[in-house]
Order: sequence, then C-alpha cells, then structure tokens
Amino acid sequence: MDFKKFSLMINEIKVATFADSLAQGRIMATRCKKCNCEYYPPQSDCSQCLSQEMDWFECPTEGKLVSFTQIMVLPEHFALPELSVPFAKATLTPSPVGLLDVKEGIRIMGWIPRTSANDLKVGDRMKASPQALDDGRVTIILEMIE
Amino acid sequence: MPRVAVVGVGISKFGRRKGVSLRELTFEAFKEALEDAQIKKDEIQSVITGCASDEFAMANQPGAQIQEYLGLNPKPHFRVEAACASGSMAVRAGWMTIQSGLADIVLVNGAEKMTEVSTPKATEIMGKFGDSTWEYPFGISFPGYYAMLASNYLATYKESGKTDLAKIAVKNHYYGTLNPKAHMQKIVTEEQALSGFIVAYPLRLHDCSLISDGAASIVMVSEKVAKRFDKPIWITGLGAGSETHAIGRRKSLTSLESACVAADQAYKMAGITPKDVDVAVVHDCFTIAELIAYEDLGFCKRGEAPILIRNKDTYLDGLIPVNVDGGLKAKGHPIGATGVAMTAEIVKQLRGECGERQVKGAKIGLSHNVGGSGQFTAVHIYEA
Ligand SMILES: [Zn+2]
Repeated sequence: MDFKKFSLMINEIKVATFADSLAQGRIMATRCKKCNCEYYPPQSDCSQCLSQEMDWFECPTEGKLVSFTQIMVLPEHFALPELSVPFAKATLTPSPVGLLDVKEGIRIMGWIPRTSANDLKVGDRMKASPQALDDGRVTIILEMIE
Repeated sequence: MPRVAVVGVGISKFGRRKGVSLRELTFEAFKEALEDAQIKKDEIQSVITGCASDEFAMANQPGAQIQEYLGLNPKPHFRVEAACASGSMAVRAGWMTIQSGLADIVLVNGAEKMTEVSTPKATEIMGKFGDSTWEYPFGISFPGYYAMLASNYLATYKESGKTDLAKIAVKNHYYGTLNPKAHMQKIVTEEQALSGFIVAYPLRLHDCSLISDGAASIVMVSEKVAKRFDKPIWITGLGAGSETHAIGRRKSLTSLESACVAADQAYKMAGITPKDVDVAVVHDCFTIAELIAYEDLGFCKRGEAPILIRNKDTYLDGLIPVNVDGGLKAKGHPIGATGVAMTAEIVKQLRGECGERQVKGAKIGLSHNVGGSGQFTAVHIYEA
C-alpha cells in the first residue's frame, strides 16, 4: 500500500506497511530484537543500539490524554476549502488533536473528532483507533472511553 | 583560552517589510553593524549566515544571494540552519571560527523574509519544522506544538492559568513600544490578550509571536584584535542542546531538555549562576515558551514561572528583566534573524545604549534561542 495513504509528504519509507496495518484496523509499533527498545511511530532501525533487526507488534490503544490542542489557523494542506480536514465538513471547524499515553514510551497522536478542546482535559481516558477517510487516506482518531 | 568579543551590531527594522527583499534587509543590518564597529568591509575575513528556510526565501542558496549583495566575495562563507535557532547557531559557528584560529574578524548575519507568502502557506512551512512524516498529517501547525506544551503545563501546575500567559504578552508588547526596531509598537491589555481569537487552543492571537521580515548582523573578533575596539562585549559562555523531533517522544512537556542542557553548559563555562544574570532575552515565540524558559534557565523553580510574571520580576525594575526589547512577541520573529538580533540586543544592553529600555548597570547578559519546538537550543552568556 501507498504510504501516502498516511503521510502527506513522503511515499518511500521502510516501515510503509504501517499504513497497511492502519487500513486493516491495527496501530503497529516496532521493537528492537537486540535491546527491546520500542518505537512508535515505528522505526526500521534502532536508534539506541543501532540494530536493524526489528519486530512489529500491535500497540495497546487505551490510555490517558497527555496533551491536546485544537488548531484553528491551519497549514495550507488542511486550510483548503472543505474535505481536507477530517471530520470537519459539517461545521468547518477542525477537530482537536491529542497525544495518548498508551504505555511507557508510547504516545499515539490522533484527531479527536466530534468534540471541542473546551470539553477535553489532560488525563481523560481515551482509546485510539485507525480511521479511513473519504479521500482514501487513513488516519488515527482518539475517542473518550465511557 | 582567549576570548571572543562582539564589537559591532546592526538590526534592520523588523516588520512586514513589503517591497524589500531578503538581501536588501540584510544590507540594512550589515551596514549598521560595520558602522557600529567602525571597520571597513574588507577587514572581514570570514562570513556566516543564519537563515532557516529555503521555502520562505524561495531560493536554495539564500546565503549566497546575501554574500554577493554585501560585496563580500570571495571570502569564506557558509550558511547555518537550525530552524528558529539558526541565528544563535551562526553566532556559535562564528565563535568557533575565531577560536579555531581560522579568522580574527568574522561577520555573522541572520535573515528571514517571511511575509511574501500567504498565512496558510507560512503556517504550512512552519508546521513542517515539526515531524513532517508522522505529526504534520494531523494538521499540526507550529503554534500547535507549543499549544501542546501549554495544555500540559497548565494541567501539571494547577495554580497556573491562561492569565499568566496573557501577562507575558502584556509585558512584551509594552516593551515593544520602547523599541523603534520592533514590528509592533502597540500596548496589549490583559483583557485583549485573553479575548483574541484562538490560533491553537489554548493559545490565542496575542500568545503568538509575529511572522516578520528582518535581518541582524554582528561583527565578532578575537581577543587579540579586540584591543583596538572601544566597547567589546565578551561572549563568556556558550551552551547548546538538542531534543526529539517528534513531540510524542518527549520526556517532558513542561520543559525543553535542550534548553536545560544548553543553560547548564553556558553557566558552567562562564562560571556564573542564574542569579548573576542582569538582563536576558529568551525565545518567546509563544507566551508559554517564555514561562518555560524562566524555569529551564533557572530563574525560578519548576512550576514557579507564573509567580515570576505575576510579581513583575521580569520587568525592567524586577529581579531579572527578560525581553525588555519586546521579545519575539512584539519585536517580531524573522526566524533566521532572531538569534543574531538577540545577541545585538544584549550587546547594546551591556554597553548601556538601550535608552528607555536600558537595564541600569547591566554587566552580565544571556540569550536563549530555541529552534523548532526545542529541537535546537543555544544559550550564550555575555559580559561587558
Ligand atoms: Zn536496539
């Protein structure tokens, strides 16, 4: 699969299968076979011990919101009229974005649809999941755990 | 080790400099620096230019444009890029060039022309200073990164609040009115700061520095050559550090490790403590960044930066005046120029040439310049 389904900038990267897994509903990370260091976003090389032997594993997806924002003045890529901002079509208000702490050393970034920053607080319990967008791209969303 | 001095400084007018190009901006700063140092162009032996973005410059060798326009060919010249810390890293490279013995008189420029592109385009260019592969796809803008730090800071230190951020904006805009080179010379009230439109929650319009055009130049010399100059200001401490590109991998969202490391090195090298600093310029690209800088630089304990600003301890008459030139907030933040302009401001403070915004009797100064959302930080210490 095309990594550009996830990235806006690059298509060629050794961990491009991350996008395939997302499309299949899984958020994947890598773990160094030699030193067990874990990487999210995934890496094909270990920045700690310099090993290139990595295993894929599925990330836990539930955790606490570490931080968030809601970006009202958007980069040009997203500021185009309609469609370019996920979940924004109805109101043309971009969704908040957050960082979810799912395990020691792993924080998943995602859009937080159908909410506003005023309704969020650091520490909220949330779940991350892949989400297909209308334009064929895949992204990650964070949703409150009831 | 022999020392390095700054003997001449120049700053272009910062602002929306419509109709003026990157090389022309730099010429303004360069000419002022030469006149200030009272040296001739031909005496310069080596040149370094800090410029952050080819996309803003709309050119791939903006440094070469500048070098030719300043009439400095064929002297050695290279460009330094460290995002918004490009300027201070260029100063650092100037120091290294002199200490290595390669040159005794070095010109360091910083320049950026940011307003020729639209705001959404500028937001895109700045957003891509973050991790363009993994984080930019979530629409993260540059204010968005600092907004993430702000949300975490405000949640971590319960007694801190958005009014503390607003107070930083009020202070820096007030001092901007005393700086004729500043982009914006207008008072902002706390009420205005708290009611501006949201750029990236919880940061509002007045929490953000200005997208500006500008340039700064300084002349640096070896100790051997410095004897012939009237008012050398010595660089007595340098520190630098780095930080993860991805914000998702930060150990802390209430501090920049790069700044802590840089400050520690600079204080040790200069043989001083934070208490000895008489005047500081810090990287207030966003109001939250100035609060965090107070703590990373050791001006107060962790979580106590809000108290410092509430007590007006960082005002001109306070314990440690910070950004009394208006900061990036009011002076403007032409990213590659910022660090060099910081050095220029501290040099003028230590010479006692700052007029209404002069910190009386300032002997020791500090500059703190952050690239990206902390990926590069340089701290320099200066003594009269
Ligand atoms: Zn390893």
